[in-house]
Amino acid sequence: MYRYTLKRLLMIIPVIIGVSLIIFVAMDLAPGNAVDYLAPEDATEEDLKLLEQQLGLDQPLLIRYVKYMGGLVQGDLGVSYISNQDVMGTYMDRLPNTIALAAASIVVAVGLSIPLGIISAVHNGSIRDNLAMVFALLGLSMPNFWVGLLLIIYLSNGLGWFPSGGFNDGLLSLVLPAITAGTGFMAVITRTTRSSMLDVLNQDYLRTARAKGVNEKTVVKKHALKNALIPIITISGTQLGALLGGSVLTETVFSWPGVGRLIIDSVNSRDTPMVTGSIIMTTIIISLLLLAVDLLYAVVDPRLRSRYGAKGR
Amino acid sequence: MKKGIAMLLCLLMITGSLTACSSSEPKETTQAATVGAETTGTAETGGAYKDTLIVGMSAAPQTADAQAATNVPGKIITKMIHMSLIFLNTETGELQPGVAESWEQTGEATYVFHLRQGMKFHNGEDVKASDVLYTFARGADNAGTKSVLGQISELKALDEYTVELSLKEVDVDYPTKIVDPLYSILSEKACTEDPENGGTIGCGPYVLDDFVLNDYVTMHKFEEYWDAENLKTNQFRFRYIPENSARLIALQNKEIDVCMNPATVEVSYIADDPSLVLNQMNSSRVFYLSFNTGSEIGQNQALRQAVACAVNKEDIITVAAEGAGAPAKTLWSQGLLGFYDGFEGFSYDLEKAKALMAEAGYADGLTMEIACDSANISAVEVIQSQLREIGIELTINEMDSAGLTSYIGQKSTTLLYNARSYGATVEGPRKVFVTGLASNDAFYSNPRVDELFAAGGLITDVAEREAMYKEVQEILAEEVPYIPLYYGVTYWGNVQGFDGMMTQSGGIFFYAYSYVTE
Repeated sequence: MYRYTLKRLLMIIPVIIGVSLIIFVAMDLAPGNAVDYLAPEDATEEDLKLLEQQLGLDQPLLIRYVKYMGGLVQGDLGVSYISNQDVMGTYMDRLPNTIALAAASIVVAVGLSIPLGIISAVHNGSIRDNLAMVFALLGLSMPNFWVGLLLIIYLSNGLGWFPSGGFNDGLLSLVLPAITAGTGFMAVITRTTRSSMLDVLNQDYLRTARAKGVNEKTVVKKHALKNALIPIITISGTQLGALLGGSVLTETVFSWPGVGRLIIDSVNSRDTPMVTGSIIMTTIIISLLLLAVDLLYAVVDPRLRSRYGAKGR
Repeated sequence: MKKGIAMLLCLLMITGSLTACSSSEPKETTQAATVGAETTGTAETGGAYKDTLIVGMSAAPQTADAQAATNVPGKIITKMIHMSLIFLNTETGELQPGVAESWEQTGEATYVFHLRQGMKFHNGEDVKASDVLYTFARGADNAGTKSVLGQISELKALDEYTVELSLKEVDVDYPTKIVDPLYSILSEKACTEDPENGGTIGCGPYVLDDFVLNDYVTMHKFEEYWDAENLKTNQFRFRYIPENSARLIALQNKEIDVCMNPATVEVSYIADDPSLVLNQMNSSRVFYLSFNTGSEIGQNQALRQAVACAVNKEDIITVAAEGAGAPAKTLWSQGLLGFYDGFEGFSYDLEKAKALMAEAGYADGLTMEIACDSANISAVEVIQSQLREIGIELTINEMDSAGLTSYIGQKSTTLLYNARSYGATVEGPRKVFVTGLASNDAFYSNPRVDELFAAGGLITDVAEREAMYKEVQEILAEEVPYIPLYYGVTYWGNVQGFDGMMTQSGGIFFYAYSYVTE
């Protein structure tokens, strides 16, 4: 188990190198650079060259990359071209907001989708199953920004229950963004839960349990759901990872100061250190999250625990 | 289970009916209980003013360092925190005291500024001549300020509160150039002690509390500001709300007091709401087409004139600006010294356009590329369909703004759709029309135009200068390196009781004296 964990942690290093290289090259290939964003409209050729020098953009890509990686090894993610602020500090300022939104969204998504998926599977083919699937399909089909705007129009502007955006009203501020970001994921998790439960509900051991007189609630809760959890955990972990990478549309609609908007704004202003640093941090977080999900399998499924153990030995 | 589903359906129906009711009576609901509204306070000046004024911005400021804030939102912030030597009253066009209480021109290219004594920086230090010297020396190596500060040949302190500034060459507009927030006076002590953040310490009316990139900026009143008794609002909060509808709804909910740049299609919601006020002004931003006059197609004057005759500006305004714009005949800001559009020029005339196409040698039409910012794609599509009428097939190359700036610099496109704002002086148009200067998107060169601009910078007689700039615009109207399209309109909405905001050149809003009465 420990060796497996260590191996997975070490695998993050080449991933970081690959990700940083791709970002550096992509940002370099994109037309324009931070100078075009920072320079005043009437900047002269000389001004532009001076600014390029000041930002170090007059140096070849390879040298810039090596310098950046040199700093990274020492834990320095660089300084933003645009704001001149420390990248790590800026990212860490945003991360709690993103974590809060991701956690709330996943709570909304899992909290609604697992019961819906179970109901749907248990009553397979019934009106309840169809209603749940229509609900899931709606969640999947409706674009995030549209759901967000609808919620703002009706629940914020219409009923005045929630703020329309920002982060100033504590938990109230979190409700609409969480529902918006959670809706799409809810649909995916509901469908996964349903299909996973359907697989399990047809297994022989459940038929045996029923034959032995175990009541249906216990069959579903204790025997079926536990065995159906692996795909649900996998999909929830992946979705949580995606949310931690930033839910750009939700963050934009609700002016939510998260990592996603930070990255998009930085891409638009060609702020390479901010983009690279933020994506590296997000990569590390997602890698750790996926590792945690893999380790969670072992908690849920004893067979996997023994397999990890065997690998460890 | 059946009961549960029935209850769920009932709940959905109740919510649906509630929301349906609310949507049918928008005026009532927009005045309904709001969430997150600031509590009101009574200003020390006596009247009941809202304690914290919240402004919703459509774009984010980059920094609060005066010399690094080159975009409009950045300058709105730095204008609150910092102060330049001189202040421009855009309503009267007069230069008024800023950090300098008075100034005089002691020679053709020499100015003496007398600083306000007892004025303080936010760190408690006195504003002295040495700070002016330090600020201008700091900006001399800064890309955003180098060209203007580079005009100085000598800057010296005559005493603790007097500065003499000499220019390399006569420039009658120089005092107006340094009203821009980029030339605000910084504290030498603050900048040397903390090079990273020292540039955010100013001597302006408000003190920076918090600057969170791409999120918000907060500031509070500087009690030691020389005019503090006239500042009615204790705190300001500038919120970056990029989504237009969300920003508008925040205003309707009274979560913000001012909504900058609402979408043109949505301004009617503000106009129709009795609790809100819609404001508009003609923007200094001019939208235009420019030819790359260095390219084979772009150097053909008859072809440029043909395109000018084929473009219907009214249609472009209708589509691209939702009707909110005024057709432009000259690429010069309205209100800027020398503005003139009394010439005939090339207006919309398809027959004339076709004749000019034949004269240009393109009777059978041609294909050319047009580059534009993605934000302007709808206008460019209108132009594409208009030029098809005279046989020109446009290939649209759209990109983001940083990409477009780089693309223009590479002289890669034949035709460009762009927009430009000017500051308070003719320096803006000069950089657009004079050979080889930075903003000359058309790579246009005409020795007479260069000569007129050079001469105009040396003359103080306004009528004489206006005559020179009139001639420039007549030459441009005939040679058509640029096709001016329209002047934009700037909208903003605010709650009832909001007042005191001043508009500045270059699209900057000065909020320091603004307030909301309760």
